Amino acid sequence: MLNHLEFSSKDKSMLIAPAGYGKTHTIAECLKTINSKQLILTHTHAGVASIKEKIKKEGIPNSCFEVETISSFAQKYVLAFYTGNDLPSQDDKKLYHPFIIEKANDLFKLKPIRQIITNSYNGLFIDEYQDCTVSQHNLLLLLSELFPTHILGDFLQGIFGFNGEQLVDLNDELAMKGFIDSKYELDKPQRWLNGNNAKLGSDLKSIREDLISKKEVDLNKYTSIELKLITELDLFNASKDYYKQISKLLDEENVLILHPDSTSIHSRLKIIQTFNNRFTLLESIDAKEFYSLSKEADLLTKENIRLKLIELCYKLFNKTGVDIWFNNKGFKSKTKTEDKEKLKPLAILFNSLEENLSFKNLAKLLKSIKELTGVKCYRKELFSTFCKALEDAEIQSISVLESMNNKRNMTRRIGRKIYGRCIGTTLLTKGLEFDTVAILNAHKFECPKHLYVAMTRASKRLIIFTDKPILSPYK
Amino acid sequence: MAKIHTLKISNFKGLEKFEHVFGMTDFVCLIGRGDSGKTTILEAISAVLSPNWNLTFYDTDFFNGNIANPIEIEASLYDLPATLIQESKYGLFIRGLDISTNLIHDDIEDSHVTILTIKLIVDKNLEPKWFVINDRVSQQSIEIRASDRASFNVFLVSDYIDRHFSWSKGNPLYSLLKGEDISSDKTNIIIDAFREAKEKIDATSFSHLDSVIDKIKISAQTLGVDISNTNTTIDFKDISIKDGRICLHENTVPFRQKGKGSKRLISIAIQTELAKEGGILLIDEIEQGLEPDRAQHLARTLKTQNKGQVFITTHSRDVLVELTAKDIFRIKKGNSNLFTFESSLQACIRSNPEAFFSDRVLVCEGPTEIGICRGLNNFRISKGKLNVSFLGVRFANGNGSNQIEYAKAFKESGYEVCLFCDSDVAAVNDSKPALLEIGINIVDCELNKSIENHLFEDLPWNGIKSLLEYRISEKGEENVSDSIKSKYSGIFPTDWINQDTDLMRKAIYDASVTKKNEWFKRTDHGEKLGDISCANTEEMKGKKLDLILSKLSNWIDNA
Repeated sequence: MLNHLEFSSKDKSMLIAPAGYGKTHTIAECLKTINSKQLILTHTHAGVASIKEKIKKEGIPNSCFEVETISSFAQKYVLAFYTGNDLPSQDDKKLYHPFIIEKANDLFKLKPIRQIITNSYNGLFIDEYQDCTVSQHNLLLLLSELFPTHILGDFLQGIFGFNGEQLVDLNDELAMKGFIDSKYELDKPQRWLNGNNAKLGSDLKSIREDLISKKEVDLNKYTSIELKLITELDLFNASKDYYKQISKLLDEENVLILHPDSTSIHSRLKIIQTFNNRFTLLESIDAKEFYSLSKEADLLTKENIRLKLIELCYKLFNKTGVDIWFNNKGFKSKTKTEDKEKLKPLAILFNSLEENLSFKNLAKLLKSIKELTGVKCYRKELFSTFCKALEDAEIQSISVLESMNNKRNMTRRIGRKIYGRCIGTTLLTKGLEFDTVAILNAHKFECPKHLYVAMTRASKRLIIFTDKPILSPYK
Repeated sequence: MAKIHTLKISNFKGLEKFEHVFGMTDFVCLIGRGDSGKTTILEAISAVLSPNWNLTFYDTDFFNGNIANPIEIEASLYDLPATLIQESKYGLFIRGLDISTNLIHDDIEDSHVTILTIKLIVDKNLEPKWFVINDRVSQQSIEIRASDRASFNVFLVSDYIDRHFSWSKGNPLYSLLKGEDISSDKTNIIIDAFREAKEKIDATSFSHLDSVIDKIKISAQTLGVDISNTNTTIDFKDISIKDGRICLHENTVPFRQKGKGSKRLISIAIQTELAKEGGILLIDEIEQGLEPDRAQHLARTLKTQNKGQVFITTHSRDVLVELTAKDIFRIKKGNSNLFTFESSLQACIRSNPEAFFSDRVLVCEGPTEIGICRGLNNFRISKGKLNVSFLGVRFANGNGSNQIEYAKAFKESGYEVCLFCDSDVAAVNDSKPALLEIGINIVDCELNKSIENHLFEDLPWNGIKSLLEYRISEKGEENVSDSIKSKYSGIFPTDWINQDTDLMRKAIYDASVTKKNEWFKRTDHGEKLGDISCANTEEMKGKKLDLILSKLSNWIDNA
């Protein structure tokens, strides 16, 4: 059993915790032993939300902590203090984030800036430390000079590489100097105790050992896991078992479908279409469509709106649905009175946009289009954020892109909650837990870390769809 | 706590554009002639750092009453409360001060001192808004709340100080209470005390009012309303705690009824307690209501025992002599920043404090010259001309060789300067071209001569006789004639007092400047010289002495 007081009273300490062993809970417990404001940093916005929720459950007052991603924390300082004019555009992820970390590195060395940080916080916790790139690690070392710093992580979950940048090695004595001397470990699979699936917990513990020692994972050995042998393509065939199984899962309240391909959202969108929009696509906070759509909106004029509206619609809705109501000249003329009635208010709005281009009315029009029969929106978060960005752009008289940046930064700051039926990837769901998790095409995993993260998202029920029972995710 | 490094003011009252870098100064004494804007500067500081959530402005508070140009007051502060320099407050808005250049930068460096710039803007809607600003393009200014401004602990001691004796929010007593115990809910102490008081009043029977109440009860009953439970007590509504009715008393007499001077001292006492934590204390006319010694003691105490920053204004020579040159900042109407003083003027402050309150300084070589100028002033007044004080002119004693330094320093501090001196010391003569170059007027004697030379060369014999009579009335005839005799070459005539000869004039001159026994080296003697010289100008037309006097008079008239 970890002594929280001891762990948090060290000037530097580190905690190795496998997924589901109560890492976030440990942070909450530590906060109880410290009576001053702590900064808690993690990597993903999902992580931020889940830490906030757990801490709140423990009844710890808001004044005692602040949770942020490393990126947004660094960004806050860079946007406030960097005076150069070579800041890359925020939608250029490859340049933007490394730039932020690099400039924050300069800023965090300055006494006046360090003073702000020490005035604001008395200690630091960093979650998911295994996901730190080397440059993030160096930045965090600067912070660790300012106050007691406690890091938590698990080397087997280090999947969050940015632009292929090298991740820090938690076992490297030199890099982890100071921390490695006060190393603690968690040993109880908490997530699966307390009335959940205890057997699943111990099975995952064994699989963890398999993966660390690079052995093949024979799923037949682990009875707590529901193993489904499938053929990949059957997923898109409603008469096949693969499709039916997934369809049945969608009756559950809280279920996560994990797809092994995290490079392109295309395959996930295809699945959403196949299952008729019955689950939600988890968007990456920096998905480029958020910004490209906004840029297009900024180029709209009352002269080109008739042409461009249909292009926008194609990006937000299913093509078939859009084609029912639009042709390249605008709304189609419908014969049915019912349809005519439906289109009337839309046409009025549309005409008003040609007289006076208002983003607010454009948002209103898009929302009405979404409600038309046959029109489906597969990217609900993209759609709703885009509409809000349009509205705010008009209210604040700023560009849509600026407004979108504000919106995404807000999400970055306050995190987001994820619930219901979702489809995502390991990268998007790290740190989250779902009652039921279904892993699609598990044989496609090529990295033991990704597979481990995927499996450990489930707290009660884990279903693995694979074309063979023995997994060997080492490539 | 906080201290002001730089202050900028636009369009506020009499100040159209003002900017001054005080730097790391803990004590600032503002001087300047009436209406130059001293009080306005204190009011501007008090407004921009005001703990009140609202301040009342009028059209007349705008420069020239022109509401088209907003009032803007900007204070850049250092030594800030750590609670404000947090991320969640204004930490991300700090700027950096380079101590070596006294410049404030928006690009922070390691060696910089943390600065927050607070800006108050009042536009034609008369609604004040307070912001924290910087010049970084990426950042917009953010509003600063009244409660955060309160942590600067800025207080103005002016004529209206009665509120300083009350416990309400925004007053110094309240700030002290807050400083004592941060954890407890402060307002409650006061409100609870107040509620207790109300309970006591409620318990009091207002029996002498009962007969009237009884009549009303019966009358109401007749009309069908039951008010039988009626009694008399105080209505909480009308006793707002915010208006600060809970205040300090001496026994039962409220402090606000004390004398002006005592009230100011008590108010300052309360606030110096605050300044111990590092607040900003603003005192307008520090000497007001105080005897010179109390004013001096107060200035000295504030200067030496205070941990915060103090701004005072004064018209008092007594206060000035307590200070050092670097404490003094002079405001001149129409000038956009303050003049400072070289430490070379330190001795001058002690010897000529009055000169610092003028606009134009006539630096005189010594007491004789000061006296002559006084005589000249008397003469001007008798002829119906304007007096020097009205013209903003003050005579300063240059203390011989110091006169060059003083003249230069006064000039650099923005005064108009005229130097009235002899020409009998080579070193002084050598410095004169440099003084002329920086725009100092010089009224001096002919080469190698002193004013006494001219006196005894240029005055008509009647004038010289008046001088001799004056000297005789001081020292007796024998003493005077003996001293002249000792300088006279040849046989000393018995009727020497009527002998207008070059020899006699020379002997009298030599006698009058005998070392340790000079006749006129006192201001009052000098004044007599001035009186006599002026009375004889008609007969000296074209002579150097007449020229000197008319040059001085012209300069006084600002010609």
